[in-house]
Amino acid sequence: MSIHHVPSENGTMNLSFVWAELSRRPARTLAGLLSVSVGVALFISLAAYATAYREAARFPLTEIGANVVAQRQGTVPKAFRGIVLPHSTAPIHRSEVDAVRSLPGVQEVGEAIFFWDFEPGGFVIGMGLDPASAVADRMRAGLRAGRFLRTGDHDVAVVDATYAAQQHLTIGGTVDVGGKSVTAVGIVETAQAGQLVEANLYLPLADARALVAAAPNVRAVHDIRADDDDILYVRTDPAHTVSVAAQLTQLLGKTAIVTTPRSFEEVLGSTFALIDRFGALVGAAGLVVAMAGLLRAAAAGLWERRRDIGLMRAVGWRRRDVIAQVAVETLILTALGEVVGLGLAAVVAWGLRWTRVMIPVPWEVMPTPHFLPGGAAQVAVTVPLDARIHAAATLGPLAAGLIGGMLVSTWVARRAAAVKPAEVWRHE
Amino acid sequence: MSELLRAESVRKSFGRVGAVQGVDLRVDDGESLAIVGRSGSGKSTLLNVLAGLEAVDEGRIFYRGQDITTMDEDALALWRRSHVGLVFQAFHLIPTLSALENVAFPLYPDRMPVAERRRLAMDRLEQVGLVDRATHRPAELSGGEQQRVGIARALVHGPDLVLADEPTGNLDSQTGEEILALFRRLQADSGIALVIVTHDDKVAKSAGRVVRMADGRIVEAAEAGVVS
Repeated sequence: MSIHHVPSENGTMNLSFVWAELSRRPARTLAGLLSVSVGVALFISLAAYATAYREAARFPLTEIGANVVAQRQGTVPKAFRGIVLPHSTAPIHRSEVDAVRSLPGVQEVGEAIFFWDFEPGGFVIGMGLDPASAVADRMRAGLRAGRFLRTGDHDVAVVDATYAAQQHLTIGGTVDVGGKSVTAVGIVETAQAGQLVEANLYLPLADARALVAAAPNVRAVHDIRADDDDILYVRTDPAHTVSVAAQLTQLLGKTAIVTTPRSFEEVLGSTFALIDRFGALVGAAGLVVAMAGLLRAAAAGLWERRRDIGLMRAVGWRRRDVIAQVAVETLILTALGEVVGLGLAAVVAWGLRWTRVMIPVPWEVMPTPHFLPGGAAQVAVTVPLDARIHAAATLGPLAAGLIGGMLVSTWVARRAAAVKPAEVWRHE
Repeated sequence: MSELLRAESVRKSFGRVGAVQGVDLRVDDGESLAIVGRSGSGKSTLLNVLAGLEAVDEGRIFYRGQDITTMDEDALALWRRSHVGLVFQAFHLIPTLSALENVAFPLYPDRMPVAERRRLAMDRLEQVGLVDRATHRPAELSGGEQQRVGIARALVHGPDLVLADEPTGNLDSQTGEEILALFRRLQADSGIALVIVTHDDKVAKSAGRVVRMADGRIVEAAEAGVVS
């Protein structure tokens, strides 16, 4: 029967033994796996939350089909009678609009003129819109009754649904603006297009320009012309948004107010900083706790298996054989924990997508005068959190987890390899 | 018969307790030797020293003329994996592995094809009459079956020396006799040398030669049936 075996000098670990140890000691495996998965899930889902919050801050602009809103700081009207321009706006002349259109990276310029109208009968926020612009397209989606503005329209208006309800306005009814009577042809849900283009009445651009250009309290403080705008909704190639914003600022001069996604981020700057720091801290703590849990599970397993490891040494496993076996076992446990953690994070991210957050709107682009009741209140847009697991964001925690797992497994494996069988059995 | 293993003036202490105190012992190829003595006489420690599981404090041990007391732990592990089989009173089977996997366990660190390893283990299980229990885990086996798995494991790599520490100590007398009969048969088949540590006279009588230990020393050596 003698087959005299010559052992291999090159040690190796045995995957079926690894699998047997992991699958047939479920409590220990589950403890290690849960430790790693919860830590990884915590880290990745916090990163997904922070990224989603930043993305949410860009939402108000993308929702109106623009990356950049350009306007110019104006002056306080001499009297709040009739049509005036809000002091956060001032005329942007035709030549300037044309110059904006020719900037590299600019894909579309939506022209608008925004005004306030103080009449004895009440206050009206008006906006002249080009029906062919992307902003108008987004507004059209919020239409509740009637029709939206068309090219060539005159003496008509599309009315905000809330304002229409307050004024008991219906399709075909008339409303006065700047001393001129216009007919309501449509009712629109302004909130559909966000707060950035919120007005009570939406007029054909030419009509609105004419009303504003003729208004004495506008002319008193501004060099206004019949084809001027005071707000430009600029859609850019996303890669050029920053450079377009810089050129717009240069073009419109020192009074330029250029709102970009970054403007929203700046409003939320402290919130973002808090989320980032808190997220990083809690995420890192989660990973440390995960590694501590893994270490605890592995160390407990080591104690539980001292006799078995003693047997390995007794039947001829060398230190390196034991180290390879135990280290691979712990590393596989770590990797499995990371996969489960990734799955958990995906579930958390999916859950976050059902939540909505309030994004404050910078005061420059708020539609309501600050001196009117409620005008100074912070305006915010409610935005869904589009939380996603980004591959790039998972690499860090996964790598950190694996490195931690390697450190833990090396430590555990070295301790295992130091077990002396005779000592183990002597103390049994 | 040629010399297989020789211990010269071996001493081993634990603190102030001298477990083995100047033992000289020779084991020849193919012989069976029983080391008997009361609990605490040092017989198990001597067996561990002969297996290289405990380092000697003094003295030397030669395996086919090679001094194993100069080897480091890994070299000793490789030596055991090559030449020595161990059988334990408490069986020491891995609870998560099947009988077949337990038998193959000493071969795991080798880069051996799985089918080859499985064939070797199955051959040994067949020799101990447990082929039908190959997929059972230790908890599903009786004490006698577990010890037979332990014996198959000790033989899987084709050793020329088997060291057994109280192999029947955890078994009832009938099962113990079955295990002894198995040892005798395997030894006759393979020609391995067998060193059994025991305090059971029946086991001692089954060996070709018996040495008695007391207080860490060999106090008597004789042919089987002659020792007092």
